[in-house]
Amino acid sequence: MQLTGRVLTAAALILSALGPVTVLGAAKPAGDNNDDEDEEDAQDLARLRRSPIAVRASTAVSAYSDSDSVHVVSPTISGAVADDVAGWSVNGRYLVDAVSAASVDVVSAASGHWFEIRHVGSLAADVKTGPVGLMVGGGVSREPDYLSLGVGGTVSVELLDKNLTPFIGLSYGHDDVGRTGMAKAFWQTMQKVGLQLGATFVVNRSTIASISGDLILERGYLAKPYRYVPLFAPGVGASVPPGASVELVNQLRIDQRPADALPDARDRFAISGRIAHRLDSSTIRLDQRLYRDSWGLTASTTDARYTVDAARRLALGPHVRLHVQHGIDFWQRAYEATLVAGGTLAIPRYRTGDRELGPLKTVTAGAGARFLLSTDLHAPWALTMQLEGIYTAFEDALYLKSRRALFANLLLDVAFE
Amino acid sequence: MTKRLFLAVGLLLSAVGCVHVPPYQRGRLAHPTMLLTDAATPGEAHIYAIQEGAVGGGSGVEGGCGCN
Repeated sequence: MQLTGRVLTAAALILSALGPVTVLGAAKPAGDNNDDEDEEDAQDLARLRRSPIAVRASTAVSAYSDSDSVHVVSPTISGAVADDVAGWSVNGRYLVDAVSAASVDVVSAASGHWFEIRHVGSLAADVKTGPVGLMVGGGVSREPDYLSLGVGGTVSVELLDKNLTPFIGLSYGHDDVGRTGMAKAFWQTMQKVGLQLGATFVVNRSTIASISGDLILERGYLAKPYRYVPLFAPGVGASVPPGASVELVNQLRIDQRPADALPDARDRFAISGRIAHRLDSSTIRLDQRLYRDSWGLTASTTDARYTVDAARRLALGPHVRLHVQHGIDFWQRAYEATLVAGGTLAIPRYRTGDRELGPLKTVTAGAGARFLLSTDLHAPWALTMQLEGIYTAFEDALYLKSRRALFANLLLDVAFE
Repeated sequence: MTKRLFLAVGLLLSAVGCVHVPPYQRGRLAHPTMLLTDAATPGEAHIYAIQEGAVGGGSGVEGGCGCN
């Protein structure tokens, strides 16, 4: 109920704020013969009466392509209405992923090339009252075999003359997981609850930092419905090398090929730090995350960005990201069946072919540039470009030893008052 | 791993020995690049969510990855 109340309040604020925008945008009366001086006065008056309401919109298109024959194009539109003086904003976003895949996992499952479209929408609102800030939001992601719904909120409080801002966030998500063509009644469900605690603090006149801890509890169906795991006879697994081809795996495996099976509970923990330091005409940003979960996966992710004000309207700089992880406790490159009494073969209780659960290293390197198309500080228009190269080394997986990918993003921001 | 965790936390906490910065000295902190929100674009964040086994540290709410 509180959430609904906040949303209604935000909507009422938007509607009430539309008045001054309309007045400022009104046409001049007919027959008004202003001279230059009058026009300057009018412009000055308009500046003084500038509406505190800002309307921002952006459109972006991103493209991803990798050496495993996965290609994605994602157009996005987003918009926001904000009153920075009153301290509220409402924003929404809609994204479409068009995915084309003929990856080795698809090939190894003897499936053909597939094409799929995913729709993603999100809506969020921020309200600030004195030192207290509240953000609530929700999102939905839908594709033919997957439906994901999520809601969440964050409360923050500014303390010590805004030098310290602790925050707490809660989120809930519900996913329905199926297969294309499968009746919805047979779909599986997964639920997740997230808790985030943290604080942002001013370190000195040029440096700001934050630290946060995340706890995410996932329950339900956590496997991949399209993945089938090749099984090997006892003693054969060790002879299957990392990166073994589909042909070699098919030659060595036994006939049984069970579906992906994972525990139905996963508790995930992360501690993250962020720091940004402003130099005379550039900013250094460093993010670090350490992660562990109840399946035994541990990971470290380091992300660094350097942005230089190259010209009055141009900012650009490099970006580097390094992700290293150890696999889950029950990760095996080649799962073996075990011989049980009676001479029959038993399959491992947990098995997965999801190589993102195995040991891997990923290096991302690229650069971005942001060009201001207008110099109006209150209503800037900007064009942002980004290009990233991503290299992943799979240390202990079938089919692939590495993957190379390119990601590009082009974003246009516009703003009005 | 645990050592790295404590080292990182220790480094961050040692930075908390910060000075009190009054509002009129926060010109640099107000620069748009100093926002500590997610630096990744939505598309970029989605790639990381799929290709990395780890989560957390982000902010905001969105529909799941649907990457089955």
